[in-house]
This record gives sequence, structure tokens and C-alpha cells, in this order.
Amino acid sequence: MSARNRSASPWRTTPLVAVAAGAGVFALQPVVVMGTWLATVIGLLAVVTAAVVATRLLSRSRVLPTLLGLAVSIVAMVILFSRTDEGERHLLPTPRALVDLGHLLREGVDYAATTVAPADVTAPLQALICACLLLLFLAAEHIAVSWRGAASAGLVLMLPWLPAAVFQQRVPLVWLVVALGAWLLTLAASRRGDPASPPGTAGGAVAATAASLGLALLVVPSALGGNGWGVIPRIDAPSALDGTTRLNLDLDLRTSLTTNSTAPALVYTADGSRPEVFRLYALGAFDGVSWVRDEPDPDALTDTEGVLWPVGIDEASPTSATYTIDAVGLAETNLPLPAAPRTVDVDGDWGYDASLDEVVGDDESTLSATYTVTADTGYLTADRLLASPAEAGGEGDAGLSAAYLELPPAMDSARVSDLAHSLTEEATSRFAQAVMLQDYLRDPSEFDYDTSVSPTTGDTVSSFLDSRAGYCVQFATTMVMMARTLEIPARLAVGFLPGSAGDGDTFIVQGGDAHAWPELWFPEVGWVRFEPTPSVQTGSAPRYSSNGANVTPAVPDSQAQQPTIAPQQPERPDTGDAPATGGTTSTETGPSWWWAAVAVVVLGVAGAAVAMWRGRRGQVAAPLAAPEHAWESLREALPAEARWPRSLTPREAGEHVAAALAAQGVELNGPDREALTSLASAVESHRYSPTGCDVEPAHLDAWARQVADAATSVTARA
Amino acid sequence: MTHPLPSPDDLAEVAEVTAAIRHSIGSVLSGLDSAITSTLATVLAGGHLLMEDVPGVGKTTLARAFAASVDCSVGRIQFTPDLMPTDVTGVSVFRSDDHRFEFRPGPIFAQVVIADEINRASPKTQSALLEAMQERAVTVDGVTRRLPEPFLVVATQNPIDMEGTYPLPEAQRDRFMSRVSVGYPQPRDEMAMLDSHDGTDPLDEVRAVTDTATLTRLIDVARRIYAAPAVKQHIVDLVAQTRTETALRLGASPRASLQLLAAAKARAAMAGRNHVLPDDVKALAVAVLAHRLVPSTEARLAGRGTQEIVRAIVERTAVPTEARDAASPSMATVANGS
Repeated sequence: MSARNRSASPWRTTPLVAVAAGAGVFALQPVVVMGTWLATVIGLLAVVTAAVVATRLLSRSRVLPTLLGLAVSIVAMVILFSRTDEGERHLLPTPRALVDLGHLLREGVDYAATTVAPADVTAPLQALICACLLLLFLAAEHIAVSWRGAASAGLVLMLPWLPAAVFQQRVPLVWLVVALGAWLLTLAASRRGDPASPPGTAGGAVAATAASLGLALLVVPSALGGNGWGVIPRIDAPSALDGTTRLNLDLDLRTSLTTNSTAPALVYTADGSRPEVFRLYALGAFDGVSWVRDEPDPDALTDTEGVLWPVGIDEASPTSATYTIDAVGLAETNLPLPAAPRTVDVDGDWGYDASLDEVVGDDESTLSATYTVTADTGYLTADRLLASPAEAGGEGDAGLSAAYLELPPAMDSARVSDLAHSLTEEATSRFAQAVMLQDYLRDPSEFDYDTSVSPTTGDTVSSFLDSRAGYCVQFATTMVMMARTLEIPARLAVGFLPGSAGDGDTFIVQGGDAHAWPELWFPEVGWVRFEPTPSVQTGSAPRYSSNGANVTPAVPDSQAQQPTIAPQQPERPDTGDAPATGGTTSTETGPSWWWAAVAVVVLGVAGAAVAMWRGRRGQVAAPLAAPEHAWESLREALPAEARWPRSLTPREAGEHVAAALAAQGVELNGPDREALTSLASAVESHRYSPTGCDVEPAHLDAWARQVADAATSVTARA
Repeated sequence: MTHPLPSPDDLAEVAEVTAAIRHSIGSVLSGLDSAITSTLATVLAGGHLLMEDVPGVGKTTLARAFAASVDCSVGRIQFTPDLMPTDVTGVSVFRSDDHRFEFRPGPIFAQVVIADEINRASPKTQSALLEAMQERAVTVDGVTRRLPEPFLVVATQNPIDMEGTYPLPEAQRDRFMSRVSVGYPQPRDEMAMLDSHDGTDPLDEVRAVTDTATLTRLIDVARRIYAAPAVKQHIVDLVAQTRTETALRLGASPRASLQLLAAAKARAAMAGRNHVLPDDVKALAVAVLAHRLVPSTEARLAGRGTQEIVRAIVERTAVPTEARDAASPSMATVANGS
């Protein structure tokens, strides 16, 4: 009896904690590839859970079940993962096996630190995930069951979800709800299973309220497609909630990026390398705060049948690529085009504006349009750009709109100009200048990618240079303005990033992939895209601009001799795993969030330990001693009239009970009265005597039951 | 624990002796169990006793009966408005035969001092007594003389709204460990009293049942009774409540906490227990705390006495099952020290 009541029933609580912890694995979905390894992890968790439950049923110790769980975890981990250098399995947790396991985990940490999300789960990473999960489960279970701190255990259980929350990644709604639900049930179970919980447990109510509030605040806004408070995981909402996508061309640099639509805008297949962007509009006029689109000149439109700007392409060229694009959810008046488009095959009334490089529809919408584009993906090379006879104010820029060199009066042009000139001091060509500006803005030690911005002035470029954080529009705008101060004609282009892999060989561009970038003019080449937005969002820079060695001043006459990335070089085949925002090589990674996650875990565990220690000092979570437990269970079992007030001493309480029952018409008979007195006296000794109470717990419980039975029979008769 | 717990033999002796004294007093005054218990607890805790009630209910008789039950020196002072401090402490008189001053000890130089109607004396005389009580020594003409051990003052007083009284100031009342009200006897007890007083003074029949050496030993036993942290917590809770209670203008002092614990230990020893129970604390809380408190004007106008207020506090204060925070007492000490 007492063993079972010692703490919250492990039959219920421990498996619930295991479910809550296990669901946390799915919080990794944004960063690792889910697969069959999940079965191993869940199986391991189940084994450890069973071991802990069994120990709890057999032992009243607080520490033993957790220690045993830890031992089982280590043995299982050794058997499953630990290998000798020769690749043989260890079957026993010998010191050698533990060292090997440690090496494996270390390997897992290294792998996690260097790989790009989503990572394939290798054996070391799998072992690392298992180890973290088991530790998390054991810690949470220990707090929830041994110390009755189900609410505090929530802190530990929350840890796997934190990185996703902090980095705004999408997490599976179902598993988040499962984790939260299991934790709430843990709270409920640990409260209900214990009739002797101490009085005045406002903490429990507060915890439950907080949990419900948290659930409401986390899940509801996210499910509705909103962004909550900016620090909660984004949840894959049904696309029906999102509808069609339209680009917001009113690019105001003062507003934060809040919409994050996951509705598909384009679905395409690529014959050849994937495009780096899909371009829709060019914007030339900037007033210091927002951009205005350049309206196409209807008279200048040429027929799309045939060759697009600037020169034709040999269909057999190894650098040509053909894209079949289905604008499933995009409602625009321009066709999204890859860079350097050569031919467009589309039904309807579309025309091409060469100066804007836009295919414009005449009362046409792209919604559900299907078209084919051929592009010359090898057209832009560092060689070609270096060869461009570009010089400030030179003849090559003649004929361009003066708007492409205009600086907004609201902007602190002197500051931007000084900065641009100091950055490009050593540049010898327009291309070198452009690459230097791009590299400066992409430098993670200089700028951070952040979708929430709060410039307060009318000079958003200066605000960005002060805050050093922004999203694509800030980066692109700043590069355009810096280029213009160097007298390089520049404009902003908007469109989409190339999206992520869909079914089969298709790729899907979502509304949230909308992007903006600068285009700089190179005479005899055309408008060239650069990518100043950090790689965390855009992946690598355009190939022609990503090799800084091309433009270093150490080789002033670099036009003919610099090796470049050959256009023929076969591009790394894109696998379905590479997301639009990921890097394409392991050396070009965004800031790895693993270390941040490790820091969060360490902080969280430390916090939980402090909370536990304080809770223990405050005697909040300590299980009741046997006499107190019997005493409280008697109090709970008594009818309300016989329940003694807390201000009565055990002796007085005993008399109170007898008197109250007598007032209901039935006197406690001799043995019952004696049991009551004995129990009161045991409690008295336990609390106040220097020697404590030496009565067997079984007797205490038996007395409590005897009196309670007598009392209930009284009530029944009454 | 620096002192060993009292042995069962010690406790048995306490129970036996106190039962004998109780019986002895009971032969004179019937139906005063609660008052006698408080009196004995105060004596064993080494405190002084204030008996307050209307005239004629047996205050002085109780004090005298107790004194008679113990083989000890007894001093009796009848306080009157013209009583001088030297009438209490003693005086140096000039002896013409050998031309030197000789100290004539006052009635306070006794082991049990019965101070009758203390509130009828002038404050000057009252304070002479109270200082002697506190310091257990008397200084006359620059010479300090120690009072005998054990030293017990049993003061009686009439309620302060009687004619011709000087109410004891709050600070002076704090020096008494407890205040006992005798109260009117039950009709049955009054009948018994009439019978026993028939022709003889029962006080004459009282014989000493113990001596001062034994009493000193019992006081030591009571001091060594164990008090669990939960009990101390209970005392602290009760005293703290008197300080925040809106019906009270002045709460209980830390000395009140100390004396409540001492009295509770004595009561436990009398019951033959080696540890204090909250029952002891609750039984003595009114006696030990009530006379130190000053009710607010509202409470006075509403007719609530401090006894009633303390009783209410005792009834609503939860009995702790364990000490809540070991850090609190030391913090309290710091607060008092600053």
C-alpha cells in the first residue's frame, strides 16, 4: 500500500514522460533526415522506460530507478552502437567499450557541428541522438516521479523544441501536440494519483494554467499561419489556409518580414542545373524607405516567340538548361524567369521587356500557367564579367536610365559612399568592386540575417548599417546603394529562391521563398545578379562571384589568366535533401545551430537542477513520511464533517474525529477508537519526539484504513 | 543537543512531585486545575507568575498554598499606595551600639515571594520589585546582594479598572512569564470549599511535600526537554501572528517566544514526556502571551480582550508538521540585532 502510494503511480507517469520525451525526437525534423533509425531510438527508449517502471514498482527509492535506467541505457547503447576500431561489436560495457562509445559520441558531435541541415543520420549521430534522448527522459522522469515535479519536468521536456523555436523552424504539429499532451497528462496523473498531496498546492494549479496558456499561445497562432511572437516553431499549416501567392512589391524596409507562406507558388522540373533564382520584377526607384517598381513600356515589348536578351544560345550548348514551370499558386502579371533566359514557350499574350528583363503579360495572370524556359546557365562567368569594359560613367553605361544611379536624398549618401569606397579601395574592376561589396555584406561577422527589423528613421540603409541585421531586402538595397555611390548602375530585382525538392524530379517554390537581390550593370554583359544576403538564407553566392581569388588586386591584370569555375564543370547534382536555404558545400555552411542547441541544453539542465534543489529545500516535492502519509490519507478518507482543521494537534484531531463521528450518531467502538489514538500518537511521535516514530508503516496504514472504514460505514448508515 | 535528554527516572520524579504539589494545593482550592497547571509550569520553567482576578477568588490562597507545599522561605509583601521601595528590598539601619549601618533584608529575600495586589503600589515601588525579579539581585547603598535560588515571585493584582490601582506598564508585564486568571469556582467546587472551610483554615493543614533542592533539580530537568523544530515553528508562527494581528497594537516580544517554549517544556515534563507537543504550546499560549499584548482601540471598544484574541490566533494557526525554513531564525536574529 505504502509502496504504491509512495509517489505518483509509475504505471501512468513514467510512460507518459517517455512519450513526451520521445515526441521530442521529431523536433529534429528540420535538421535531420527522418528514417528507419527512428525505430531504433524509440525501441531503446521503450526498453529503458520498461526498466524504470519495473524498478519503480519494486523499489521505493527515489534514485535507484533512475540509476538503473541509466545503467540499462549505457548497456544498450554499448551493444547497439559501440564498435572496436576493427568494427567489431562490444557485447559488454567494458571500459574499452565505453571509451569506444565516447569516441562515437564525440564523432557524432563533430558531425553535427560540421554538417549542413538536413543531415543524414549516420551511426555516430544516431548514437548522439539516442544518448541525448535517454538522458532527457531519465532527467525528466526523475524530476516528475521521484520529486513529484511534473511541472518542472516540463522544462526539461521542452529542451528539444527550443532550437526549432529559437531558429523559427517548422516542426510537425502532431508531435508537438503529442509532447504537450503527454506532459499535461503527466501533470494530471501526478496530481490525481496522490490523495495526500500537501495542502495549498497552488503551484499545481499555476503549472496547469501555464501549460494550457502555453499550449494556446504556441499552437493556435502557428496553426493559423501567424508567427506567434516570433520565437515559436513554425508549424506546417495545411496549404488551404495559405491560398495563392502574390509578391509584395511595396518593399518597405521599415517592416519586418512576417509572412512565411508555405503554399506552393511554382512547381518545376529542371533539365540541367537548377536555377539560382526565379526573377519576376525589377525595381529602380528608392526613396530611402521603400522601392517602386519600374513600369514596363508597352511599346518596347517584343514578342516572346524567339530569342530573349541579349544573345541567342545554341540549344546543344552544355550550359543550356530547360525548365518546365507550372505556376500553381502564383498570381502575377509577369512570368518568373531563371537567369539569362533565352527562349520562353508560353500560351497567351506575353511580351518581353528587354531593359527590365521581364516577360510581361497583357491582361494575363500566371496563375496555373505552364510554360517552358530555356536559359543559358553558363552565360555569366567571372571571365566575361572581368572582360566587361566597365568604368564609372563610361560609355558602356550610356543609354541606361539615370534612375539607376540616383541616390535618395533621405539617405546619408556620404556615409554609404565612404563605406563603399573604403571597402573597394583595392578593386581594379567593376566586377572586383561588386564582389567586394557582396563579400562584405555576406560576412557573418559583420551582419546577421534577421527577419525582424525596427528602423525608426527615414534612412533605412543607415539604420541597417547601424543595427547590422536585416533580411534580403535590406542587404540587397544596401548593396544597390553602395554600388550606385561607386557610379555602378544598379537596381533591385525580386522573385523567388529555387525552392526545395518535391515529388519525383520536381521542385517546389513556396510563397516563403520570395527573395530580393541587387542587379549591377556590366556593359556588353547586361544586368548581373549578386547575392549579398547571408548564406543562411540564400546558400552560396552566384558561381561567377563566389571565388574571391578572381578579383584580388594582387594580380592586377587578371583578365585573361585567372582560373574560374568553368561553366562546363558539372554542377553538383542537387539531391532532394538540399533545401533552398542550405549551402551546397560543407565549407559554405550557415552558422551551425548545434552549438547553440548544446548551450541551451546545458543551461536548461543547470536551471532544472537549481529548481530541483530549491524545491527540495522548500520541501515542496518531498514524498510524505509513512505516518504523515497514513494520517493524511485518513483525513482524505473521512467525511467532511469529521475532517480536522489544520490548527489541531494530532491529539486534538483524534478527539475531533471521534466527537464528529459521535455527533453523526455512531460512536467509534473500542478497537477503532484505539486505532485512531494509536495513529495520532504515532504521528505525534514522528513529528515531535526526539526518537521519531518506530511503528511499521503497514500498521499505520492499517489503522488509517480501519478508522476510515468505520467512519464511512457510519456515513453509509447515516 | 548540548544537554542530555532527561531520563525516564527524572521525568517520573517531575510527574510525581508536581502531582503531589497539585494534590496539596487541591486540598485547599478545588476546581482550579488549569490555573494550577499554569502555575506549576511557570515555576518549573523558572519564571514569575502574575495572578489577575477580581478580589476574593483565591489568588492569594493559591500562592500561599503553593508556598506552603514547598519547604522554602516565603516572603509576603502587601502592596499599598504608600509602600516604599525599601519596604520591598530592605534597608540599612544605623546601629548606635557599634556605630555602623546594618542591612535589614526586605521581604524579597525569600525563595517564594508573594506580592499581593501589586498594582496598588506606586510605580516606583513596582519597579523596585520588577528589577529584582529580572536581575535576581538587589542593590542597596551600592552593595549588590544576590537573591536566593530558586527565586519565584507570585504577584497578584486586581483588574486594572478597579479603584485605586496603578496598572503595570507593558514593559513590566513582559517580565512575568505567565498570567493566570483564577476565575469564579463552579457551584460544585464552591460547595466543597464551604465544607472545607468549616471552622478551620485549610491552609494550616498544608504540609510541605517537597523542598527547594528538588525544585531546582526539576527546573533543570524541564530545561532539558526536547523541542522538535516543528514545535518551535509553531511558537514562531503564533508569536509572528500577534505582531501582524490588526486587533493588537503591540505584539509579543522575542522574550515571549523564549518563555512560551520554556513553559511548554515544563508542561511536557509534568506530563512525563521527554518532548514538547504543540498541545503544550496551545495550552499555555493564552497564559504566556495574553498579558504582554496591547489591544488596538477598535478591539478594546469591541470588548475583545487579549485573551480572546490569542485564543483566536491559536485556533486559526495551522500546527506545522515540520520546520519550514531553517534559515528563518538566524535571519530573525540578524533583524533584531540591527
